[in-house]
Formats: sequence, C-alpha cells, structure tokens
Amino acid sequence: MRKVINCIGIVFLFLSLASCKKNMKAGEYVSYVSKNDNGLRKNTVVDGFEFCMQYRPYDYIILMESKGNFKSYDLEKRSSELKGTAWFSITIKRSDNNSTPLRYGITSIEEYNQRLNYYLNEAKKDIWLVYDNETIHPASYLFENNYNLTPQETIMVGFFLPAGEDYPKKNMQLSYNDQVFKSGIIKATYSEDALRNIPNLVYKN
Amino acid sequence: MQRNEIKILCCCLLMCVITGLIVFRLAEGHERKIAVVDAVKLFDAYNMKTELEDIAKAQLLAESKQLDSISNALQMVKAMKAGEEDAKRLEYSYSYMKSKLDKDYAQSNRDINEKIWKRLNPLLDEYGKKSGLHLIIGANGMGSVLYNDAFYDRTNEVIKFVNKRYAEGN
Repeated sequence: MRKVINCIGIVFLFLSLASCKKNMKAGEYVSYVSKNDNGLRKNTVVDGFEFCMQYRPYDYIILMESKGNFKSYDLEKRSSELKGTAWFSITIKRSDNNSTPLRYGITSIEEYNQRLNYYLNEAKKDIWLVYDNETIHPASYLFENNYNLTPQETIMVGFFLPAGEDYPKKNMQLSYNDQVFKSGIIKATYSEDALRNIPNLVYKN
Repeated sequence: MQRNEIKILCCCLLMCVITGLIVFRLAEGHERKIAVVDAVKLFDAYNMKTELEDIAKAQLLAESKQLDSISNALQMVKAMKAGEEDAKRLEYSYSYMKSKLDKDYAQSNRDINEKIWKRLNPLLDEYGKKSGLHLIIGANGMGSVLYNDAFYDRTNEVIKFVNKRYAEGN
C-alpha cells in the first residue's frame, strides 16, 4: 500500500513539475515568443507576400518597451495598464526582402500614397479578433511608418478583451482582410495551450 | 525425396520470395499516385469564400439600398408629374448608380475568385507533396474528367486540409 501511495506521489510530483510555467531570461523569452513552433507567431505566405502575425504577451511588450532595463521602468503601472487587453503585431513583407510592400509593383506616387493612406487610416476596419467565439474590433491601431527604411511594414493592434478577462487565456483567432495585395483573409489561431505555456519572464537586469 | 532435393527446393522458394519482394518494392517506387479533386466543390467549400462573400454582400447591399431610394424618388416625381429637370437628374443618378452597382458586383466576384485561387493553388501544391502525389487533376464539370471512382477522389480530404490551414495560419 505504501509503495502505491509513493508511486502516485511521484507521478503527481512529475505532473505538477511538467505543468509549471518555465522561467526565462530576456533573450530566451524573446526567442520563445518569436518562434513559430510555440504557437504565438503565425506566418502565411500568399503570392510572394509574407504575413507574420505575432501575439505579444504583456511581459514581451514590457521587455520591448523597457529594452530590458527594468530598474527605471514602472512594471506594476504598465502591467495594470495592459490588463484586460490583447496585443498583436502584423508584419507584411516580400518573401525575397527585395522591396518594401508599400512600393512593390507601384507605377505612380498616387498609388504609393493610396497604399500609405490605407495603412495609416483604413486598415483598422479590416482587422478583427475572435476571442472565445466573440468577435472584437480593434481598440488601438498603429501603422509603424518606417519611411521605406526596412523592407517590411508593421501594424500594431490592440483589443479590449470581454469583461472579466484579465489576460488572453482562451482560444483566439486574429484575422486581417488584406485589401492592398488581394491576398484574401489572413488568419492566425492561438490555442489555449500555446497561451497557457507562455513562460514567465525573469525581471532581472 | 532426398535431403539434398529438399534443400534445393527450399533455396528456390526463398529466392522466389526475395525476388518477389524486390520486384514489389521497385514497382511501388515507380507507382504514379494520382488524385482527382472536384474544383468547384473545393472552391465553394473553402471557408474564405463564404467570409469574403459576406463582406462583399454588406457593401453591395448598401449600394443597392441607395439605388432603391433613388428609384422610389424617381417614381414619386413621375407620379406627381413634378419638374422635368428633377426627373432627369434622378434618372441620371439612377442609371449611374445602377451601372456602378453592376460594375462593383462584377469586380467583387473577380476579386473573390482571384483571392481564393491565390490561396488554394499553393495549398494544393503542399497537399500533393505531403501526400506523395504525382498529379492532382481538378475536375470542374467541363469535361476535363469524364469519370473517376471514389478511389481517386480526394475532394473531401483536400477541403479539410485547406480549411484547417486557412483557420490556423502557418
């Protein structure tokens, strides 16, 4: 009997150890979040255009904003600001990195300005999030205009989660209906498991 | 039968089995795997199509309501025998809106087709490679495939594959 109890105890110990979140340092954490295999970053390639949809956990946002210098950063304040929201970045680039999407295949400056205007002011309406079967529209939208310095365009988008949700923990699907390159609707699904397995960031300088 | 004869017979049998296995493996390696996919069914069952159509429908519906309003106003003006100039202006607006609606409808159909095939073609390539197929024939009811039995038909499997990839990303 004692042996059986011991065995069960060992199994429980292993299970609880396995289910514990890992603690990671900044570099390790960033590479975990940006790795496709971990389910937080999804890439879709359509006709030479690569759409990368990255879920940005709170720790990741804080890490990026503070640039790893946590001493001079108000962690608690920022965490409470982020509470109840979900943040993503959508990156668009050519697979060959030869040209910025804004300039790709254009024939006139008007066309360029039209594209730029779309990303600055209109693309927001073409983005939505389905969180646990509830469709949510962006609460915050920002197109990072890099003035063609890098061959990719980035959109930052944030959503208010349904009431009672402190942080994203249920299945969610981000959708972007691409109007410029006629790529159709680009989707990225983030599973409960992937969200549950996000490691803890060790806030150490 | 003598012992030696039995040994020779066993050896012959063994050789036959080995040769048979080699021939079978070689034949398998050279097998041409073919699948038939109902292109129309695949196109219609692709979830992105329904979603794009819903988005386009909302836009076209708004235009069609505008057209209805102009049409009603035009009929009222005609019934009341009000100013001829107003009627002319409304007639012009009506024909402009109608041609715009027709043009937008045709354009949205073209866009949806283009977007869907842009997504389906690489997915079909990927499916073919993953399944070790050498050829996927798209049956579209126009006579390119006159007959195929269920053995070659992989339409449902492909529909599941493309919709899963569409929903998940990656």
